[in-house]
Amino acid sequence: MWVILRWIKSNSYPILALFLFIFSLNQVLRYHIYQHSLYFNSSVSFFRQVDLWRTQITNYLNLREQNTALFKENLALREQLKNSRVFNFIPWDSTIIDTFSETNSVKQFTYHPAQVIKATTTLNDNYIYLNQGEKHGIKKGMGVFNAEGIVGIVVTTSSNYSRVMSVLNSNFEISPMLNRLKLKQGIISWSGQSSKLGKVTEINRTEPIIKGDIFVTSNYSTLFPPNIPIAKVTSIASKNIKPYLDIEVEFAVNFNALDYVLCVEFIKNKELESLKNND
Amino acid sequence: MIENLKTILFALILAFFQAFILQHVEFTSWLRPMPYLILLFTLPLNTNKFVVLGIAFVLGTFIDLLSGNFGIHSGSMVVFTFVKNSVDKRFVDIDSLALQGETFVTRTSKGYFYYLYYSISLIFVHHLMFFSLDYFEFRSTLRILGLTIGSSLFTFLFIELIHLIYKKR
Repeated sequence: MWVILRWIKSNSYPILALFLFIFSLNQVLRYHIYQHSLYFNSSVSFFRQVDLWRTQITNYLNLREQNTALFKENLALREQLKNSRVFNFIPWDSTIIDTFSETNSVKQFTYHPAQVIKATTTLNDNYIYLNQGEKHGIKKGMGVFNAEGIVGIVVTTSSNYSRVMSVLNSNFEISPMLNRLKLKQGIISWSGQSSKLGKVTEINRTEPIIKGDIFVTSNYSTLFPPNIPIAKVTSIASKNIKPYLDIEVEFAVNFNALDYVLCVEFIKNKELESLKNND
Repeated sequence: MIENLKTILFALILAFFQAFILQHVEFTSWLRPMPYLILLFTLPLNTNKFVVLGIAFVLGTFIDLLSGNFGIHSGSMVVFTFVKNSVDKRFVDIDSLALQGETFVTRTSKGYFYYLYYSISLIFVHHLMFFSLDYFEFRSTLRILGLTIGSSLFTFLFIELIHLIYKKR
C-alpha cells in the first residue's frame, strides 16, 4: 500500500498531467459532435469485430454438436426418401399416385448411424471398426456408407462393436451402375496401391465411357440403396487383345477422414434370399 | 503580487484576443496562429511545475469556454506544458540563465538559433496535439501535419511580434 502511495507521490506530476489531458479529451468527445460520432462509430465497429471473432471461436467449439444434430436430421430425411421405399400402386387409378403417404409406400431400408473408431488404409486387407454392434441392431452383411459414398460391408459383429470390410480390401467387389448410359455391368474393386484409386473390370470395350463419369450403386443390389456414389472415372484404356476396358477410378469417399457412417439394412432380405435359394 | 496580477491580466488579454479576434480571422486555410503560448514561454522557469500546469489548464479551458471548442485548447495545453517541463529539465540550464539575469529562454540567452529551435519545436508539439484533437482522424494525417507546420511558424512570428511590441513599450 505504502509502495503504491509513494509511487503516486513521486509520479504525481505526470499523473496530474495525464488526468487533466483525459479530462480534456473527455470534453472533446462529449461536446464535439464530429469527434463524438467518429469515436463512437469506430468503437462500435471495433466491438462488432470482437463479437465476430468470439462467435467464430465458439462456433468452432460447437461444431461437434452441430454435426451430430445435422447427422440425425439427415438420417430422418433419408428414411423418408423415395429410394428407401417401395410403392404399392393403386391398381384402379394409376394416374394419381400419392408417393409420400405412408399407406402407399413400404419402408425398404432402415439405417443405423455409427461412428468409426478405427480404420486402416495402408494394408492389403483394410478393415474399419464401428462403435455400434448387435445391441444397436447392426447385423452381418449390412452395407456401410456415408454422405460421400459407400464405405464397406459389415463382416463381423460383437455386442458393442462391429467390423466392416472396407472398400480398400482385396476381397471387396461391387457391381456398379452408370446412370448416364443406363449401364449395369462391371465390377469395382480396389487396385491395392493408393487409398484413392480403384479399378473397374468387365465393362465391354464398346461402351462409350468418358472421364468424369460417376459409378453409383445399382438398384439390383440389396446391400445398398440405389444411386449412392462409389467412384469417379479418372482414366480409360482399351487394348486390342482384351474384350474389356481398363478403367481407373477414384473413390468418392476419403478413407483417411472417416467419421460418421450409416449402416443400411434391406428389410425384406430374408424373403428375397429364400426366393433365390428356391431355384 | 503585482507580478501575479500582471500575469493574470496578460493571460486574460491573450485569451480574449485568441477567442474573439484570431478565431474569426481567416488568414488562409493552412494558418491558425495561437500566440497565447507566449504566456507559458515567459513564465519564470523556477515556478512550481504544478502551478504552471494549473495555469496552462485554466487558460486552455478559459479559451475553450470563450471560443466554444470544449477540451481542445486545454488538452493540447496540458500536453504542451508537460513536454515543456521535461525539455526544460533536460536542455535548459536555469542557473546560467539566472547569471545572465533572465528567468526564461530569450533570443540573447543562448543564441538566436537555440531560441528558434526551442520555441518552434515546443509550439509544434502543441499544434500537433491541437489539430489532432480537432480533426481526430487518421485519414486527415497529411492535413494535420500541414496545418501544424504552417501554423507553428505563424504562431512563432506572432510571438516575436508581441515581444517586439512589449520591448518598445
